[in-house]
Amino acid sequence: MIRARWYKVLNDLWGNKTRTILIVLSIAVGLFAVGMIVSSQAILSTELAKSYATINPSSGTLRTNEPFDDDFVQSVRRMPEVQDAEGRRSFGVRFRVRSEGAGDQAEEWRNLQVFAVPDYANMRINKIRPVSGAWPPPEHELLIERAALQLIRAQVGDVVLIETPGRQVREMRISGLVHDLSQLPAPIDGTPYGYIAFDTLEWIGEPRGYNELHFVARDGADKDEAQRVVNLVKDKAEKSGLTIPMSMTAEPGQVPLNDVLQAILLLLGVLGVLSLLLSAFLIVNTISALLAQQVRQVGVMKAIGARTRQIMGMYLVMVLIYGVVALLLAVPLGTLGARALSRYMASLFNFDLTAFHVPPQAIVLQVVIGLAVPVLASLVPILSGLRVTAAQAMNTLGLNNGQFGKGFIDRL
Amino acid sequence: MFISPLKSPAPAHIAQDGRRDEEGVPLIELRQVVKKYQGAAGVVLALRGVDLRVKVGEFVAIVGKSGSGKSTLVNMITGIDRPTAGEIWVGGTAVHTLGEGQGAAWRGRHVAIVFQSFQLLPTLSVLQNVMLPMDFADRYPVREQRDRAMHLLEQVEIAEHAHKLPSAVSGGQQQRVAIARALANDPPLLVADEPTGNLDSSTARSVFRVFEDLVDQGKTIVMVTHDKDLAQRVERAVTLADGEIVDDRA
Repeated sequence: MIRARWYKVLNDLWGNKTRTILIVLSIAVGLFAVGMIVSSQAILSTELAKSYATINPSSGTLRTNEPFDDDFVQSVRRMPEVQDAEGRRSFGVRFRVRSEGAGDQAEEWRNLQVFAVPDYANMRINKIRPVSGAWPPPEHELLIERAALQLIRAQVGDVVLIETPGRQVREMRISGLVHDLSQLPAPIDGTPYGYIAFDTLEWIGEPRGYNELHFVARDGADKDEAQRVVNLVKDKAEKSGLTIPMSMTAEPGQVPLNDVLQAILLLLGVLGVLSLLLSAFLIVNTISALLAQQVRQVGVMKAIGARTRQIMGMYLVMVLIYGVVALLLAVPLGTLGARALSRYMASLFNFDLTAFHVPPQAIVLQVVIGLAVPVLASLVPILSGLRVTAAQAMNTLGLNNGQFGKGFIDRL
Repeated sequence: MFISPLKSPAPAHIAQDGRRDEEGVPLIELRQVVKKYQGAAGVVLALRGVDLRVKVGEFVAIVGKSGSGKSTLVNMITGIDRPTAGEIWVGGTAVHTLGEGQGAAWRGRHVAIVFQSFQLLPTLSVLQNVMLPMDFADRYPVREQRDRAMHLLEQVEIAEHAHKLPSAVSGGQQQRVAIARALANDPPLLVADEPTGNLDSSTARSVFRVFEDLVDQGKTIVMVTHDKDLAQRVERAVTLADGEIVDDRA
């Protein structure tokens, strides 16, 4: 058996469906945005960290001007501060996709960063994973990082012309795709990545030696320790006669892309919160208008025995119903939105989602915000509206007997 | 025609000190009640030291011109408004000392109010309007409130409209609903401010008969009215002018 006062609340809600729908939708939009962002943030952070851990990321990378060999790599590996080290060669070339019958006018030369790994089958640091096609890269052929495929506007099986730093032009077939999470995603970086066999280096005019040293500091190293190890390795390299034009330190356990990802999610989160604030303003406006419209009803209720807290309870329950209905819409939609956003961001940041679990705290946060924001937003207009006495409300004495409008809340 | 909602015999109202009301014991007593308002044009003296005693079971009409202070007087008696000076006692309660919340709670149980323009809540059905004061006063169990409201509507001969909205019934029917609502918590005192002011003469007479029946059953009624005919039919008429009682005849 429902109490009569709740009939009034329900009838007021149902009696003005347009107002109810507008408020519910405005709250739901904000909640949806917040839920989607919070869930995506949790999912993407977890999944990116998981994916990143599988490649065994380097804690330091040195680039050298001169080539070095396995002996130097071994000597670094033997350093007590270093857990493991590997050498690679990377260099920039220009490329264009060979187009049948189009001649040299077909396409402009574009840049391609090429990596050569001595043993693709036994990579231990910054591991590259095959995605499709040939593996490891066949001699004189090229594998492309999967996220770079759209950038080079070619397909697996196409042939590209490579112009080496020595101005030689070679034809190389794209024979497969790989996934290299240690590099910035090509669409973000703007440079596509290609991978060749170490034996292909001399064929395209590159020396058969490393110019990149990737190494991992011992377990437990923090950022300072990682930097210290980079400096030690750098000293060692320079003492061996190598010139180091560039060195990079990665904070152990931290995913470099995570900062960018979090920045984007933060921006989206701010938009979500702004949307929620807008809905709060709409609630303030609507409840103020509702109470102004119902001021006589408030007076009548007080006259027939309602205490202010009972009437306040009615309006707060009305606002809570707005919140609950908005939650019923926003939570499932937020989950769907989080799934879509996570997939999109994972694809943009070039990593795979292995699981999709909406964290319970994201749901709890939505529920808390969904109930608290409407209630808090409506408190001022409700308190202000209910301060009016029964006599004032019913206008039996004239609405203004000299008191209303003098209080702090009235002046808001 | 009208039967007591509680089917109780003539009342035996008990004053706050436990004494049984007897002839001459007032249910309402106003002592030197003054009410001033701060209006835009300055201070308005609505009541100027009013003294009034109303006995249990009396049917009193408050008459006077517009602005004479009639509505202010009933607002004082019901505790809707507070006096600037003086004392108001109703059934042993010092109404002038009650805060807004206390006043609402007291009013819900002890005073029935009937307004000129009915003041039914438009989004509640007739039945729900009658249930509402019982809900606020929490005097009857929730499961009984519906039956009691229906019973009250039967008493004012409007039960067949119980599930309609107020806007779907006539003015006279709305006033009957308002009377049923006023009686929801079985208060000893009914205060009506121009209850027939918005009704045609035939409907007004019908509503007035309801009041007469209530008095017969022991309710005390204070009714503000402009209607001289109605005022002549009550046992006592108090005339106000410029915030003062200028005539009080039985």
